[in-house]
Amino acid sequence: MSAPYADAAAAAPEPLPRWPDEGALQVVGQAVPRASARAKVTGAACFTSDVARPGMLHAVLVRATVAHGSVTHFDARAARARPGVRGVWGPDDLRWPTLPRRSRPVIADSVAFVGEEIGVVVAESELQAREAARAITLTYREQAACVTLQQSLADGAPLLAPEGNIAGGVEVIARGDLARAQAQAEVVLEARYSTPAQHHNCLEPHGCVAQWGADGLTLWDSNQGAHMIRERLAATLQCPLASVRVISPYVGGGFGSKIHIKPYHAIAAVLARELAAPVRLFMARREEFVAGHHRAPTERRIRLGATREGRLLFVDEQIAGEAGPTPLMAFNAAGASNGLRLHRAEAVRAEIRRVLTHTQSPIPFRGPTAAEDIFCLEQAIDELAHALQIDPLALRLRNLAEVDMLAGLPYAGKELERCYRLGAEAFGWTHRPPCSQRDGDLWRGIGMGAVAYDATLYEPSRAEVACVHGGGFEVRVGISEIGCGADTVFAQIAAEALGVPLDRVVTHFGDTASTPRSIDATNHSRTSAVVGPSVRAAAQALKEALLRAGARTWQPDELGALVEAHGAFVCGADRERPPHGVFAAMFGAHFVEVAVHRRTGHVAVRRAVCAHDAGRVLNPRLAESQVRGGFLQGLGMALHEERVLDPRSGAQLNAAMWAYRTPGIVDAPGSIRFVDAGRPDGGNSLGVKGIGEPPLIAAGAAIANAVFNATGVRVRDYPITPDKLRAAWSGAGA
Amino acid sequence: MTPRVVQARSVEEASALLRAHAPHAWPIAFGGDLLGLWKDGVRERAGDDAPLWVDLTGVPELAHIERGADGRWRLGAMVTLAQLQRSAASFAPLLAEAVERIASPQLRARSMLGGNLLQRPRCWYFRQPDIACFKKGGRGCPAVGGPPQAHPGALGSGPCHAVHPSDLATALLALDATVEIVGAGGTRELALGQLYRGAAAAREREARLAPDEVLAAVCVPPQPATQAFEKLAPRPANEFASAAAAVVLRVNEGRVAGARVALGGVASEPLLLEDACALLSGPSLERFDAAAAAGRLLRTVPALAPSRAAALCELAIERALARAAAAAG
Repeated sequence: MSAPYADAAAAAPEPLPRWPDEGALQVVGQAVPRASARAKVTGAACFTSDVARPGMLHAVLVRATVAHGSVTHFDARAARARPGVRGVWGPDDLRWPTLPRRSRPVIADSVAFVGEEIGVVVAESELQAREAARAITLTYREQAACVTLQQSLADGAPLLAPEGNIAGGVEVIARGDLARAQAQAEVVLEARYSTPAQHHNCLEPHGCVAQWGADGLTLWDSNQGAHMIRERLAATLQCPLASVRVISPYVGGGFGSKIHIKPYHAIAAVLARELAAPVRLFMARREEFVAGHHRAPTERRIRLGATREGRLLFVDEQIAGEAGPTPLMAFNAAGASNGLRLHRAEAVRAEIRRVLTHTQSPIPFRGPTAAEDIFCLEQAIDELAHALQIDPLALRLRNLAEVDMLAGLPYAGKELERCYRLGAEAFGWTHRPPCSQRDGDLWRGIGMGAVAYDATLYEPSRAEVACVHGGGFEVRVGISEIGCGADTVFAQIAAEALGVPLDRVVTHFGDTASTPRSIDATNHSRTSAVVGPSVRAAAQALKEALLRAGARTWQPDELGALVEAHGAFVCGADRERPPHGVFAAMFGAHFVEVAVHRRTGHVAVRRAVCAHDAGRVLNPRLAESQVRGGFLQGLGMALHEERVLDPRSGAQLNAAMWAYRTPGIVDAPGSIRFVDAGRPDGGNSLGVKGIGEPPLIAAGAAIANAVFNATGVRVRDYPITPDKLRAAWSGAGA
Repeated sequence: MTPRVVQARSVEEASALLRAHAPHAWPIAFGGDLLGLWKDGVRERAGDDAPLWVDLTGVPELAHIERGADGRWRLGAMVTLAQLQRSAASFAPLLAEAVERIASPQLRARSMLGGNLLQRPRCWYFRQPDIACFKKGGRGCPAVGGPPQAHPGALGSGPCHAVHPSDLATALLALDATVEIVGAGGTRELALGQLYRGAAAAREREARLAPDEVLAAVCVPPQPATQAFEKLAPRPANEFASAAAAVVLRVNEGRVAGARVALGGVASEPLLLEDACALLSGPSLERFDAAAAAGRLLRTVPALAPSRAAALCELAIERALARAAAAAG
């Protein structure tokens, strides 16, 4: 729980009585199809990129091509003369606003990474704008840049902040007596790992359409939380909150990249006002890479100590993550807490350095900082199991934590052991030594990896349920539907609470003018767990209101008549009080089989079993979709994906889908099986946790451990590409 | 700046248009490569020239596969890869195998033989619009000393180290194909082995075509069915080759009597391995040791040996040899 909201949390309504743990529920728990499935596959669903307004103009950003310095000359004469161009603005051509808590205006002459916004072109078509942008002549005063962690940490490196290149200094997380645990350790394992920058690659790029009218600004925007974007945008533009409306229809993927306000929001809004016309601003795919942000690349040294019997005594990590040019987003550069709570230990310690660099800032990406940390930590655990000659599953079962190491609290619910046992059973896990399954040139291996992920993010949130014209029900939630199925599960919750069939309930979301203010953003695998109880409470209140108004049969015509007589019935509920004295977290364990080709180094992931403790699963079909998508993104992280920069200029070399390798259908395993190992959780009245991020977090290490089991060599710099594997076993003499 | 597109109705008209608008005119087929280069702002020359794209896809005589009186197969440059895959299975199986490993079914349905042969390098530095390099009018090769993933060729040297990306070039070289080129002076034929000569030192195009010349067709002589193509790439689909090998064997009384072995993915042009026949002839094919033979063949390119590509090249050759030899069975 974040401190600023402690009072709000204490004053929040008492949770409703818990739903029964077994049986009884009619609609919740059913594998109903996604409400928007038909609209999406037929193309009827409207995404922000589909929005077209009469008289709409198109904006294209001008981006810096140097990593550090300033624009000394922005010559747009040729660009302004081009056909269709309605205007070109450089740093000095408008009073550009500054986003909250930032110091650099959204367009400025200072440059701190390749791709930073230094100007904008507006034309009648996007093509005209893009062509005009190329006709701008830029002159820079370049300064020495640090585009890698090493460059930034080197002696004599240019300083990105007066106090040094480590944002906020070194953070230390420590619990327990490390010296004592070290003294007890009979086996110590130490290894170094590095993870690359990973890009979100949403199918729908970042973008918006801004239009001003008599009432103020309307912004159609592809984001993960329309209300928070609205609040931050109003603050940026210094205009009344009531004059800003943000509409986020269906969103073509977010994965964390669309939580925060970005310069493009404000630029589109400013230009639409300046030109008195709707302005569309969408990023091209190349811009998605160079300025759409990413998961930070990290390096870490992990030390584990254990007894010979496999009791884990300590975890000691030193972590460095690339923080970008500003301390503001540095928290996304690296973290360790979810790794440190994953297994029981006598002592844990992490030293975290968030290193300022002349690269774009890292932003959340599905399991931010946890995915890269647990990816490495769970391989270190596997290395420890190998060193101890203990089955990796047995080692983990020997080290189940009952109390959260960092919070010092028992868990609101923890079914990690069930994840291990049910997952292993579904997979058919029988430990086998490395290199024991060689079938000609194909080496087979199995591996596992686990995940713990906190569920404690807190801010006020509200939901409404209404009985409307015709006797139908509408759930109103102030969230953006980024594809997880929020359009479906809230209707299931409301239908359950109201006792009506699911087809009587629709979900309304993604418009700040007609939804209550729910959570900040659809993030941290919590939308169901946080907004869901409010939906249930609102539905419960609505049911009572309808009964008071004389409703008897719940038939549509009867309720419709009530609505005719009284007007629509609308009930809202605030977020319920968070649990006290317990720590809420999600858990999971993945089991993977791979086949590695001895000569090419190609890794084929054959099958995966993904057991998760997501509390009560509201909709197994949607949960399975989350598991499949998350597993594939974890597969990409383990085997394929990496941003590659030119170390001299800081320019990205693979800012294109053909060169940045995301997993395709031929890379996907034949089966990704979801095993529901959870039980209704004590963290909220629905018993719901989340399943958005844990599947990505657990997948990478399970795959990497299976590769080790198959080949006997361990690649510790990711992704595990065929080149690196071949080099590793030629070095190992395999 | 926005390219103008004109539909050519004949090869001669296309050539005349290219000549009239040189040096700002380029032929375009599906545009799988040219459109990407243009959208990314990868330019050969600076300046505000409005390019003219001469669209060849509507030229009827370019879209056929036919067998000539001389027994050679004539493949029109505007034949789609999907069409080529279907047809070539009967007369040049290795060509069909090569097509099957290119890109994805969607792209094969739309992209064309001529465009595949004339595509520009896939070097990440060449494709990065803001970094100068020889092929973009600058000097030298920034890929040298860059990260290995940016893949300069294993055999790179000179002003550009980029690899030629076409798998079909490798396949057609093994098939001893020729290309039919139409220009101002009429039609000329060039061996595929000559088409990319000097590619590393040429700025604007890798093939030896004059700006007004159109690659109209590829002619493939009849070849024995003992042939195979192998491609190794980081992933099974949508990837350019890390190493590709195409093998055609002529087998006489159970022994190799002739061989053409081409290697792709390592140099600015596909390589025809010298003395393949001599290195492969020997005991009867029943006792053929493809691995040993591949090692012998690879040693004919001494510069490859120390490179990280050597093992993959050897494997590609070995697999192609083994399958071609098995076809003699």
